[in-house]
Amino acid sequence: MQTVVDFENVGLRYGAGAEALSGLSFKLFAGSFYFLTGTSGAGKTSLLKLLYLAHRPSRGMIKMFGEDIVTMPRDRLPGFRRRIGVVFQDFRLLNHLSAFDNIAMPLRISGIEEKDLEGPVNELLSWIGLADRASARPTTLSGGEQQRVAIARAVIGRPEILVADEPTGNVDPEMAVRLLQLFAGLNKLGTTVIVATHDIHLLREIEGAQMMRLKDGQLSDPTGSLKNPAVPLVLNN
Amino acid sequence: MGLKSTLARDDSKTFSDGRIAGPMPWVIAIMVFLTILAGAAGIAIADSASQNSEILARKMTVQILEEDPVARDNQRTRISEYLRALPQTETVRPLSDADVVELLEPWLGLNDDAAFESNDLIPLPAIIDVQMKVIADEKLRNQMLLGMQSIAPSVRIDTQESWIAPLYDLMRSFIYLIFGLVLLLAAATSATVVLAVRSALDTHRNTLDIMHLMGSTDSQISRLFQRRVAVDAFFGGAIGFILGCLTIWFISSRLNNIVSGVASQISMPWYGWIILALIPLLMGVLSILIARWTVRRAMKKIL
Repeated sequence: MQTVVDFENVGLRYGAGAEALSGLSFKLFAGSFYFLTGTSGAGKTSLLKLLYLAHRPSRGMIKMFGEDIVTMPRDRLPGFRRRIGVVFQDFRLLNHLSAFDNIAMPLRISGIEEKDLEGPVNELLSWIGLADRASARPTTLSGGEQQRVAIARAVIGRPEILVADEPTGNVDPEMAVRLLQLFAGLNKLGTTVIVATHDIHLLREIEGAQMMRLKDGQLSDPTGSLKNPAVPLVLNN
Repeated sequence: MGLKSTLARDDSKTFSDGRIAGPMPWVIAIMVFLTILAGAAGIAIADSASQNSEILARKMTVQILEEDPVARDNQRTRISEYLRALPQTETVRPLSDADVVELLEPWLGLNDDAAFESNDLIPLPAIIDVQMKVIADEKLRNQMLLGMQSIAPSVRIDTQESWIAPLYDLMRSFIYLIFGLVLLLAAATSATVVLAVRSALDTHRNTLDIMHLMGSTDSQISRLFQRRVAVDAFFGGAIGFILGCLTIWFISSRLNNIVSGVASQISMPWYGWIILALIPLLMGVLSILIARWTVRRAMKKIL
């Protein structure tokens, strides 16, 4: 299996404080599905920030798609970011734009023409059940609807890696399952999915998913609570 | 990265408002207006100075300080003939006594022609205006003077250069001052753009962060700002240019009423209007470059 993410002894420190992440070493493989769990403050969001290239680590080596992104010149990073879809915990939708324009943003950044993006965006809006709210601003949408728009925005560009921070936190159980099915569908198409969650029930919804557990900024062994894990999480250390 | 984004074509699909900052076009309009005025003054003065300095440098006045009017007339005629015979002279124009009276009247405040003409009150010099083909250097002037002194020992040569030089020194100083003013105005415009773009960056920080994490390049983001700054700068520039031209027209019409002196010779050459028309365009381009520099500098601070 092809390695898409390779962490080696990675640490992350904010300012002069203690390390938020410490000594992380693991590999993520193409087309796999990972859940990232841990209590609040365990470092889940910090790890995701490293994964979606919002920060560089304070120490260690990170390779993504086979390239060292720690020493990579910053002008090469946007190309890598376009290969990664992100669902933020607080959605981070642009409130002055419609649901349609929020979802279309990654395609516009990639230079897709308007005539070519209307179809995929409308299709995805239908899939998340918001076809009739395409022109609605996020502030007029419910929390669950906003979350669905945020997820649609993250997946519209068919990313090679999808990083989601508590993506089902504001939706009802039925919608949570539907969204996970969307992630699973993408995963089947080859996208590596990493979902941070503390909802233990979700872990059982995805066949073959693996779990990474963070505790005090360090990666601990898989709990083994996953349903039929196809491949155990690869820990280097 | 040379990725072409489709965002910049319609930035309403990116940012919430249509402008970088409310007052920026108006500040640029004022800057362009002032630059147009300063530039127009500089161009007109420089053109006038360059046109007149050579003409005046080739001019000289010959004075014959002879008290006896009959002898003076005779000397004027002979010196005029002598000067016309020189290959270096272009025109020789002896002034009549009436012309000399008219010339002196504003300074001496006398209008009693008879008193002048009878030579009772003030003995008049005979004056000959000479336009040379070349600028007469000291050697040529001395040669001419020697030749004329053989006809009239009291003759003397006044070059226009002697009295006009301080005036042109002053004009040159004005030109340097105006050039400095134009540079200061360009610097002030740049500072305005930097502040406006920084303010806009703060306003749109959330949008930019999201775009950045989605893979927007610095070029894509700076193009969005450049486009907005361009719209504001060219709008402000056009307003400033129109107001500046109207003001120049107004001042020109007043200046045309001044019929004598150097002021009447100050006019805008044709190429001056082209330079003035370039000012709002150059201010616009400067604003775009400054916006690009500001955005890229700010973006470099984030990963």
